[in-house]
Parts: sequence; structure tokens; C-alpha cells
Amino acid sequence: MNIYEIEHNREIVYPNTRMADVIEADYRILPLLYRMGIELGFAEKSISEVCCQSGINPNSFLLICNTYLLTNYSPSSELICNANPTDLIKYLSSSHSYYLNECIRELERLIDKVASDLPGNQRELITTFYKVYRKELENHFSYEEEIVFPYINRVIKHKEENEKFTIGTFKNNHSNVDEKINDLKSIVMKYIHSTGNRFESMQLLSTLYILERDLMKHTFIEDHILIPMINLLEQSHDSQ
Amino acid sequence: MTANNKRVLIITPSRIVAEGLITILTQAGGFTIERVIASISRENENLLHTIPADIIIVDPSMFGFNILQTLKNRLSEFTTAPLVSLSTMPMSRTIAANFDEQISMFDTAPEIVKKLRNITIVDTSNSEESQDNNIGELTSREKEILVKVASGHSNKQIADQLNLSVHTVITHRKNITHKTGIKTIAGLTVYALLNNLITTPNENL
Repeated sequence: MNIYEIEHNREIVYPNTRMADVIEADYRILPLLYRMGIELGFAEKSISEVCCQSGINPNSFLLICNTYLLTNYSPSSELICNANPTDLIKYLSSSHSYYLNECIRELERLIDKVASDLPGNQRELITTFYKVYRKELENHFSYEEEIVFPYINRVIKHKEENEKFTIGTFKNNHSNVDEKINDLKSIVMKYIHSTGNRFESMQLLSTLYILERDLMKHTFIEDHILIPMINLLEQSHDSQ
Repeated sequence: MTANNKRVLIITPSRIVAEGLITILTQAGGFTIERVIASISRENENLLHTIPADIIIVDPSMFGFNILQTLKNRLSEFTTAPLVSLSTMPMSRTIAANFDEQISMFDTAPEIVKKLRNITIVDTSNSEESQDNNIGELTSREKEILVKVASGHSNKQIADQLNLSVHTVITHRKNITHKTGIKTIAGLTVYALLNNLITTPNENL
């Protein structure tokens, strides 16, 4: 019996990997392509060809893509040095918009449907819990968009202005957005019955799983790629 | 015979270390190595739910300092198995407090085996109550505590009200999270309302 859990944590896709093969490897990266503005219909093109045509830095794409494909991805230092933090911010911002628009819309539709044939108090309960979660998500992303990302942009342009805020502050305040979604998952899975909406119940649970994983990867990119990159920049500025 | 073996989970990125431990424990008998995993992080800590382990042996060198300090707390959401550290260097008292036992790289095989055999395996079933109901269902004590948590009481308040130690309250809360899959107070409030443990919603929602 094989008791060893093999963990790949170095890159498994490269600039010359065919884009089609990446999707074949794990279709869950499709939202990434959507957020980066990459269209389907790319035939046999490689990652670098598709990126060049879409005006995307291939190194940045690889960093993000490998994060989604691997557990505990540990990027090589060449990739970190050659990637562009501005691209990462663009991707993260684009993801925020995706979560708050496309994802929330679908989630809300499913919650309403599933809640619709629950007894009165249960219906209100689920909808309220969901709304609290949605607010938390909105606040978390606002903080990043309004405070953290502008700070990072200033660091990148070497235009820091007597900042009290450092990337360390963000790191310490980086709260979990996936605790409540984890709870919502458990509640939908185990503690409510929507007999009249079995399909939507199943879709809702599935959507929650997908969103939770997406958010975990999103957080991973912020914690293990973006923050270290900006740390390095901050330090190199301090020593100048 | 193997049914009585202590099931061991080893967490280390070093194949050499893992093979060494496996050899020692297999030769000694009384242990079954369930799995070896290279690391634990938020991404794969759910794995712990599915690997049955009576003892978890961890190589602390792979964890950053801040994670080490709260390791036991984090892991105990997923498992109640005792944690054993395996290291070359002595640890500070705060870090050592996370572990139920410590093995040094320089311990002899008999010393290692003796330490592991002497660890008390935590009995996760509450014997009187688990005969009545499913292991997965909350015991009446757990329900009592859940209601108080949902009502906004702190661990200290609950401990005082029910005449328990804070440590016991925390253990119960971890079991509740483990069984229900719910962590936040708002989530527990929803659970309590859905299962008629409380009847009026409060400001947690």
C-alpha cells in the first residue's frame, strides 16, 4: 500500500505548455482565463503565445495558474523575480469583481430558490446568514481595493509617502473569508431540506464548494506570492 | 492483533526521517503507519478528517514560528489525537506546550517506542451517551454548550455557569465544530435555530 502522499509543489505548467492541455489537466482553472480576459478558441497555442496575444505577462500567468493547479505551491525564485506585481493586483482585482458580480448573482439566485420552499423562519434564517456572509465578503474586498492595493501601487512606483501602513500590517489583518462559507456549506449540506428544489440544492452546495476553493487559492496568492514580493520591494526601498 | 495497533500519522517532508520512523515502529510492533504526509497547511488540513490516527508525529522544523505556537489549537479542529514532535533541537516552553510528547532525533529506538507506547490515547467517544445515539450527533452536554455559545457567552462565562474548566469548554466546542462542520458563532446560531435548540434569533445574525 502506498502510504506516501506525493505533493508536487513546483511548477507543473510552463510557457510552452499548450493552453488546451492546461484545461485538460484541471478544468477548474477556467474562471482564471475568464478573469484575465483570455478567450477560448486558442487552437494549439502555447501559454506564452496566448498570453502575448492577450497582452498578459506569461510569468504572471504561470504563477497564478500553478497556484490553482497545485496544493501548497511553492514558486521558484525565477518566477517570483520575473513576475510583475502589477499583473497580480490586476488579477486579484478582477477576481474581486468576479466574486461580487458573477458569483454572488448565481449564489443569490440559488439561495433564494432553495429557501423558497423552506418553512418561514428557516427561509429567513438562511437568507439572513447568507446576507451577513455577503457583507463580510464585500468589506474584505473593499479594504483590499481601497487601502492595500493603492499602497502596493505606490510601493511599486517607489512613491511611498510616509506610510504607517506596511505590507506587514495587511498580513496581520488578513482575515479569513472562508470560515462563514464553510459554515454555509455545512448548513446547506446537512441541516436543511428543500424537497421541492433538489436540483438547486445540489447546485448550491456545488457552487459553495467551488467558491470556497477559489477563495482559498485567492488568499494563497495574496499571502504567499504577493506579500513576499512586496516585502522584498519595501526592503529594497528602505535600504536605499 | 493489528486491530489493537496504535495508528500513526507522520508529518514530515523528509523521506529519510519517515523511513527511519517506519522501520523502528514496525520492528517494535503495536503500531500501524496510516500515512506519511509532507506538510499541513490550510489547503490540506481537511485531510486530517479522513485519516484515522491515534498519534500524530510532526516535524516542527517545517512550520514557521507563529504557526507552531497555535498548532495544537488549529489541528484540534480536525483531530483529537495526541501530537508528538520529532526534532533535533530543544524547543522553547511555549512551543513544547503544543505537543503531548517530544521525540529527539538522537533518542534510541527503545526510547522512542517507549514514549509512544506511553501516550494516553484520547477516548473520543463519550461512553454513556454514544450508546444511545450516533457518534456523529451532539451529546446533550455539547448541545447545552452550543446554545450558550450561540447566545453570546464567552468560554469563561460558560465554564462558570456549568461548573467546568475553560479547557473542558474549549474541548467541547472543538468537538461541536468537528461534528457539525460549523465554526463561526453566527453559523452555530443558525444550527441551533434549525435544530430547535433555541427559538429566538439574536444579534449574532
